[in-house]
Amino acid sequence: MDWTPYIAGVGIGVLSWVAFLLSNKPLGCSTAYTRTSGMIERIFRGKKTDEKPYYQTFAPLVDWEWMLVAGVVLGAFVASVMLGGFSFEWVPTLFGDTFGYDTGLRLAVALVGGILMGLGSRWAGGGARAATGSAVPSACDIRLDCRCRLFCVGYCDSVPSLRGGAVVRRK
Amino acid sequence: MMFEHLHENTRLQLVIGFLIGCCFGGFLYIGGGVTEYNVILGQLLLTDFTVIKVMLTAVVVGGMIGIYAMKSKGIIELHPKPGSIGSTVIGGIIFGMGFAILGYCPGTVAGAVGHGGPLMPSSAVSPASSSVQASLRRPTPPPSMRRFFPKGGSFGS
Repeated sequence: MDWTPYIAGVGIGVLSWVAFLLSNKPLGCSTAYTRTSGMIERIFRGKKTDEKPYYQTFAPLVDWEWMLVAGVVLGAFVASVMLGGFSFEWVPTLFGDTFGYDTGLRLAVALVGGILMGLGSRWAGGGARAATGSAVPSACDIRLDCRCRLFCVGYCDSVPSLRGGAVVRRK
Repeated sequence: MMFEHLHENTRLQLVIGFLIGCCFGGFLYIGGGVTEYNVILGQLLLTDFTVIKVMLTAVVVGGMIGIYAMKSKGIIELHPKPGSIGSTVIGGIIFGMGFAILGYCPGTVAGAVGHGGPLMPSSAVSPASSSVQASLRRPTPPPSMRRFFPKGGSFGS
């Protein structure tokens, strides 16, 4: 039996304690992307970006969550290099075998998926909560795992409202 | 609540966030490849249950044991925010469709970039999606429909 997924799950769970203790924050990611888009938009539109109602609440700047996402990139990079799994892959094999190894097509599909996912995250009040919500209509664990990012968030999944609490405090 | 002085040190918090992220990314990668498109889609297709194993273990250890234990000891405070089932379900459906089409969630996409995954799609997607979100204005639905819309119009956390 392969215990690796369980070990990783325990690690992420314990990490959520550490995050809550040291930073009073859940392990969330989705807002970091929105803040990044605000930073990019500000390059082109300047101060008009800050006038958007959304950015008045969630200012486009580097915060704890943004650093968390940056850390995830580095952590996965280091782990993959150490374990010898690092490799560039433009089109995943499952996608390629099904739809063809066309990078442009993969990018277009990914964009559509990303837009929907981002929209759903904001609509539901956070990606973790969205993940939980999508588990409801599917009425089974299929969508639950979709919330793979949720898994990351551990407790957020079981108590979605926890996640937002930290945000309220940030205001 | 413990560590309050730590919570108020903004600069140190950025460092802590980064370090926690590093561990997070490492666990994601080590966890049987949950930052892999094939593994995530394998879960959706019910051919690979790695993701659900990682997720449920983290939920049990992280939330059901750890957070509530700390709460009962008074070490931490929970601070839930208001929400509604309607907006969560609708947001969840949209999110779920996007998740299945993209093949990653916001957390795993960062891990995928880290191990050299589909760099271009991963990095291009999120800002694009976020721009759309951020452009959204507060909807003004009729009162009977309000439970299906994000509370307060802030569109999330």
